[in-house]
Amino acid sequence: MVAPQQLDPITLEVLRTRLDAISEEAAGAIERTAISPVVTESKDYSSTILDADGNLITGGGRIEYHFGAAMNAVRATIARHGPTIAAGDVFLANDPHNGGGLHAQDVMVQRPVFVGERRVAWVVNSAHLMDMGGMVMGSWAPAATECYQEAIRFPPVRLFRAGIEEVDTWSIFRNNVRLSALVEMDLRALVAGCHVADEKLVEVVAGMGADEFAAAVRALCDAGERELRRRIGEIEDGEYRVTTWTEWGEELYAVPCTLTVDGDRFVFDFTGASPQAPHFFNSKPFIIESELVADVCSLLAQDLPFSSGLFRPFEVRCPARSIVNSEPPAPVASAHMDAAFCAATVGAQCVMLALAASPAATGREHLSGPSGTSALATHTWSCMVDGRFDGWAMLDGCLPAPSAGHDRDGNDLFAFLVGRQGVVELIDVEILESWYPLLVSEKKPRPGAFGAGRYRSGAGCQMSYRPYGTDALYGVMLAMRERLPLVGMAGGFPGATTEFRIRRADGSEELVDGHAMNVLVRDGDEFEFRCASGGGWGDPLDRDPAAVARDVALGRLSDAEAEETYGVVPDRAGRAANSDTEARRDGIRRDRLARARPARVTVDADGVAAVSVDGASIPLYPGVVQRGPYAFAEESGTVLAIAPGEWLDGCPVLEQQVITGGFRLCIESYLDPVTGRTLAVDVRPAGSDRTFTSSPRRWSSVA
Amino acid sequence: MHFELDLRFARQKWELTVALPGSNVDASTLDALLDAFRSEYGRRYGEGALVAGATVELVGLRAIGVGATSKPRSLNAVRAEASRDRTGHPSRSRPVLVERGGVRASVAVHDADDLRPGDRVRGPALVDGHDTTVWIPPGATLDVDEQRSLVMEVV
Repeated sequence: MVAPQQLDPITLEVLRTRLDAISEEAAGAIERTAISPVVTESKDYSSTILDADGNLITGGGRIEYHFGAAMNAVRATIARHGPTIAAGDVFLANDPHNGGGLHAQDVMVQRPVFVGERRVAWVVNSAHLMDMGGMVMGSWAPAATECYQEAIRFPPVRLFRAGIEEVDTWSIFRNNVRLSALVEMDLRALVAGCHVADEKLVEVVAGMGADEFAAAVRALCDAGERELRRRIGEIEDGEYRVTTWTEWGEELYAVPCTLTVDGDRFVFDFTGASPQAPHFFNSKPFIIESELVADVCSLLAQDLPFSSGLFRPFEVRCPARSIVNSEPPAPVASAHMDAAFCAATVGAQCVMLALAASPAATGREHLSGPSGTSALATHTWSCMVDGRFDGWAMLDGCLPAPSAGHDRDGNDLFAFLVGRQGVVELIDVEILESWYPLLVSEKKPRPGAFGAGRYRSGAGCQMSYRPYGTDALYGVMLAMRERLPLVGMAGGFPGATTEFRIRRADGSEELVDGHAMNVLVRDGDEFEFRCASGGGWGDPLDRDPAAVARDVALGRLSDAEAEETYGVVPDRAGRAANSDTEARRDGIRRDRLARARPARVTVDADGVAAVSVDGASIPLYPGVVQRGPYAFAEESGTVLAIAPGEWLDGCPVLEQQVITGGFRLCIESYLDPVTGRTLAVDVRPAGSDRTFTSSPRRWSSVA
Repeated sequence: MHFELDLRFARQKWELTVALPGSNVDASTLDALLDAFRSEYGRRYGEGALVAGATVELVGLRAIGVGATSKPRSLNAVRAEASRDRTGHPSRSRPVLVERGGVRASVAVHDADDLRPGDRVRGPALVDGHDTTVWIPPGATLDVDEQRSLVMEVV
C-alpha cells in the first residue's frame, strides 16, 4: 500500500490526463474502425476505464451515461467469472437484466487489463449496434411484452479467451442479428478500442507500478468525492419533490422523485413509481443511477473529472418490481430512455429546486428548467434495396431542445443547455443520404410559440424526408412526450410535444402514433418528425420585445403568436418595444388576474410589514423570497405563505385545459396576486396533484 | 518515385496507408497489399478487430516523388545586432516555486516582444510570450536567433 502523501498533486494530474488521453484514443479507434453512422456520425459510443474492481476512473467518447453502466457490467462479469478471468479475455454482455448495457443494443465489450499476473484495470467499450435480433429490425419492439421477444440476450460471456477467439459466441451472435456483417464490424470496432486502451494502460501501470497506480486512482476518485460533497454541503438541506409521467399512448406511468439533501449527500427516492409494465420502457437501478449522476454532475461538477468518486455522495432508491427497478420478463429495449430519462430529469429538477433555494451554492449559475432528454423522437426503418434487406435507427430524432436558463434562451437541436455532451450528435445529411435510401427535404429548428418565457426554450429538430432508391420504408416509432410536455421554470410555459406525420403522395396528411409499428412510407410520400422541447424561464410578457421581433423575423414565431403569447404589437415602423406592446401586456396581466381562481390560502398580512422591512431576504424559488417565517412575491412584496405553508397556495391560479382525444392536460399558472405575472407554471395530466414541491428545512422547520 | 494506397474495410470512414512494393499492380500484388493492410490493421487494433472475409476498399492511390528543391529564403530575417546579455535587465519579476517543496523565489520575467535577435538570457528566468510562457531553468541559456526563435541550451 502506497501512502497517499507520496502522491503529489502533479503526479496525480499527469496520470489523470494520461488516462483521459488513453480513453479518448480508444474512443478514436472505435470511431475509425466502426462503420455505422450511429457510431461514426451520431457518436453513440463510449470507452470507459475502470480499476481492477470495476470502479470508474475515467471515460472517453460521447455517451457519459455508459460510464456508470460500465461499472455494473464489470461487477457482473467479476461475479460470474471471478477467478477464471485472465489476460487476453474479452467479455460481451448486453442484457440489462444481467450485466448488460443501457439497453440490449448498447453492448458492453469488456477487457481486463493485466500487468504480469495481476489484474490492474478494465476497459469497457460500448456502442449502439443497429440490431440485436428479436421481433423487429433495430430490436425496439413496441409490441414486445417480454424481454425474450426483444433481442438476443447475452449475460457476461467471452468473445475471446486468453487472446483466442471464442468462435461459438461469435457464431451465436451472427446467427441472431439482422445485417450481421455490418453489426459485426461495429462490434469488432469495440474490440479494437479495447486493444488500443489495453496496450497503453499496460505501459502506464508497468511504468509506475501496480500498487502506486491503484493508490493514485483511489486518490483521484477520493478528491472528486471530497469536492462534490463540499458543494452538496452548500445546498440547503430539505426535501424537494418533482413528478412526471412516461407515456404509452394515453396510458401514463408515474415517475416521482423525492430528493433529500442531507448535509453532504443526496438521497433520490423514486417510491411511488408505477409497477413494471409489459412495455419496453422498464428500467434498472444501475441505469437510473448512471443517467441521474451524470446529469446532476453536469450541473454541480462540470469542472470535476467524472469518476466513481462522484457517485459516492448519491443514494438512489428504486422500489422493487417498478418501472425503475424491473425484473425479467419485463421488456427493456428502452430501459435507458422513457422511464429512465424521466427519472434522471425529475432528479435534476429536484436539484434545481434545491439550488433555487440555496443562495450560496455552486451550480446556481446553471439554473434552468429540465433538459430535453426525456423527449426523444427516435424511430427505426427497414426496407429492401436492390433485393437486399437494410435498416437503421434515425438518431436525429434524438435532438429535442432544452428548457431556457435563468439568463438565456435554450439552444437548438441539442438536448442540454448545460452539459458536457449531447445525447447524440447531428448526422451529416450527405452521409445519411449516401448510406440509406432516403432524400432529405428539410432539417431545421422547429418553429412555434412553445417553451415561451422571458427566456424561451430552444427548438428541437424538424426534419422531413422521402424514400429514395427503395419502394417503401417500414418504420417503428419510439416517441416520448407525445402528450405531456416538459415544464419550464420561474413562470415560463411548457414546451412542445413530439409529432410524427406523413404527407401522402395524394396530398393528404396523417399523424402517426408515437408507438406505431409497421408505419409504411411509400415512394412519393414524405415522412416528417418534429422534436419536442423544454419549457421557458420567466413570464413571456417580460421577454425583450426586440427578441420577440427577432424570432418573428427568423420565422420561429408568427405575428399572431408574437401578440398572443408575448403581447408584442409592432408599430408602423416595425418597432416591437412601444406603448401598444406595453398596453397589450398590461391588459393580458389584468385579464389573467380577472380569470384566475383565488388563492387557496390568504395570508393575514397584519404584523408582516415590520418583518418585511427588517428581515433578510433568502431565495425560495426564482421570484419568491423568504424573510423569517414569511414567503413573499419578490416583485410586489405580497405575502404568499407563512412557514411551513406552501407559497404556491398563496397565488391566484389560472387554469387552462388542453384536450386531445381522451387525454386532458392541465396547465396551471401561479400568479403574483398584485401584478399578474406568472411566478410558476405547472403542467400535468388533469386529475393529478401539483408536480413540484420545494421544502428547504430552513423554511419547513422555521420556528 | 514510389506509391502508397489508402485502404479500408467497406463503409468505414477512415483509411490505413499501405506502401505499394514496386510500381506495378497485378493479382499477386493485390494479395500482398491485402495481407499488408490486414497485418497493419491487426497491429494497430488487435487481431480480434479483423473480420474474416470483409471487403476491402481502395479509396486513394498516391504517387510520391523525392528530389532536390530550391530552398526558400526567409524575407524577415533580422541580422543579429551586437549580442546583448539581457540577464539582469528583465521586464519585471514574479514569485515562482523553483524547487518542489521549497519556497517561492523572485524570478526575472522577460517579455518576448522586448527580446531582439542576438539577445541572451541566463536562467533562472521566464519569457512571457503572447501564446506561451518559457521557463529557463537555472544554468540554462536562451539565445534569440535571427528569426526571433528562442533557442535554449539546457546543461
